[in-house]
Amino acid sequence: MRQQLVAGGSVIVLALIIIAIAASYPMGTMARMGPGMFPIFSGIVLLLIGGGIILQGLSAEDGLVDEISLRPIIAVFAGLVLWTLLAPWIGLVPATVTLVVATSLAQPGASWLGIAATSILLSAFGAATFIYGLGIRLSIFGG
Amino acid sequence: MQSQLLSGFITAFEPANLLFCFIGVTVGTFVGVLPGIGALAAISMLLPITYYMEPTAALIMLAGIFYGAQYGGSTASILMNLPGTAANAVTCLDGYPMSKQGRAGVALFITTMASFVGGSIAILALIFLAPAIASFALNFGAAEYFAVMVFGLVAGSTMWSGSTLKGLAMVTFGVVLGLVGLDMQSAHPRFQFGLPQLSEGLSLVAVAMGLFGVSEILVNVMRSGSDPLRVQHVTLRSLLPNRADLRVSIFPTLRGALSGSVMGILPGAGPTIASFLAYAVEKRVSKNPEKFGKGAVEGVAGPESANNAAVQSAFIPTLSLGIPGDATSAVLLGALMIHGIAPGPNLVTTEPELFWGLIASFWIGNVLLLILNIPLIGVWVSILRIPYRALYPAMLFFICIGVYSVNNNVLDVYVVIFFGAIGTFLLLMKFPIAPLLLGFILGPLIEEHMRNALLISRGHLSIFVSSTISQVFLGATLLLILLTIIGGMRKGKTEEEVRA
Repeated sequence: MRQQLVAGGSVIVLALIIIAIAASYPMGTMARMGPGMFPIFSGIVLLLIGGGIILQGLSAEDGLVDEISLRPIIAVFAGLVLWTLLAPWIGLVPATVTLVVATSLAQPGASWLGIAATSILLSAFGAATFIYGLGIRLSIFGG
Repeated sequence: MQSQLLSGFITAFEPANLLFCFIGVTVGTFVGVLPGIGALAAISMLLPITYYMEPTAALIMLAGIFYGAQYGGSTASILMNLPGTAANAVTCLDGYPMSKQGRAGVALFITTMASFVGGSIAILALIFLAPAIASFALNFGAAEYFAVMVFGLVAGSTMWSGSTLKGLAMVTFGVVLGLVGLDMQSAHPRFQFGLPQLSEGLSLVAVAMGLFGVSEILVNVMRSGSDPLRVQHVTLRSLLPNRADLRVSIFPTLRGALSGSVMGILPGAGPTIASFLAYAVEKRVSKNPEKFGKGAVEGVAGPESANNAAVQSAFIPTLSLGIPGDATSAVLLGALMIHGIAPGPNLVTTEPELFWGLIASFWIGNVLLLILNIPLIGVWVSILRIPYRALYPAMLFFICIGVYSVNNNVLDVYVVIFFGAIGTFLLLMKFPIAPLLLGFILGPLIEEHMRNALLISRGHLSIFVSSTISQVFLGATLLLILLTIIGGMRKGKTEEEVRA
């Protein structure tokens, strides 16, 4: 797919969503602008810009959308979501180990020794600084 | 003014402030040295910690990261032909050839000295100009503020990257994101999707970390290879320049400081453009321009002086008007707002301790950077050998626990992950994401000034062109947009955007 067209199209979709949502807010008058006027105005500006990006994409030799490698995306987001799910439930250390393991798989050839070292260092530092130092509400092990 | 500056130094020399200044410039040098992580990402990641700090100490630390990164950024440019930050890209042109000729040490020494001189001259400009501009700006009404801020947004997004339309799209999207939550005047919820947690708006920490932490890291993971990088050894003895090196670098350094200070004040110009301008100037005034690109000392001294000067003078509009010229300054302003301090021309008089303490800390920070970057250069060179794979899991961990620590709330972490996903999509679509943050912070202020101006004029739009100041700024904005459209039609192709 042509990159500029996808980009411009996304901007137009975003602008339409903004206008649709803001249309339900009171508009007010020019002298007393309601909560809807400025967002609708911004949405229209965005719509024009999106149109401009598409025009630019039509008129020029345009690159295609880069091929996206899914492995790093899945590994990084899995690591983040798992940490957020696990930390309040089974504690900082298991959550952190899970995050390090999952995110390390984003690039091929991670060494288990490196993963273990990073897990231990981060767990210890996180517990010392954030739980003992700053007193955040999170247990080290267990919920 | 002397007494205020003196009391500023007293504030900056308080042990806690000194410590945070040191932490800031060290972190700044660290992220500057490492290609693939910039000052903005580092500042975003450290924002949560500032909740636990005094506002002055918080600003001293965050600002230290900002200017410290410019010092560190040249190291990778010189040794590996990889700019540490976008503003150091031009330093590769002559820095890397010097390195290949075995003069890496000299290049590192000259860039550090030039950085120090450039930064110091811009701090002087800051001391004299910021209070003057602030007292001038006390007369600004809502219409003037509206005009200056709109100019800031447009300039900040169009000069950023190759595709200016994409920059404008991002800044507008950022403005709308800034509106999320209860409307200040009518208490009407906007873009809240029924979530009561969003009634105070999206948190700056979560948005900045998602956009600049998560997505930058992810894109770097996709790009960077897994092999450790080869870096040559730099000894202390090799740092010493000869007399000729010093002589030819004096005037380029001074010229760079001047152009950098001017470019830093202009919204949207900033350190990257300043460094390219300084390089062009040096090549133009040189008696033998053919040696540029082959290891000319002038080609590293000028740009490195300019980018440091620009980083320091960027604080002039930020501190005197409350109008940031780029995304990094915008986040610093956001940090002030987190602490309940309203940025604007009153800051100099209402928060003298913060204002003068921060300025004094810049000088202390620059001296610390001189020490960090000359005797300790070997440490930073060895940091370049750390492969990215060892660092990014740690950065992702700090993002999670840092955001969680602000409110002990997992919803904040999910907001980060959500914005990380948005940021990744935008980066893959080659949108520059820094303007988004600029819009996010300035958007609510622009709406407020627009409303107040129209309230005063009873709905007549003529109020926006009733004073010279707003005429000048809105005229300049229009001109920029016209240039963008013309440039877009003529060029019509996207360039690879420059990112930190």
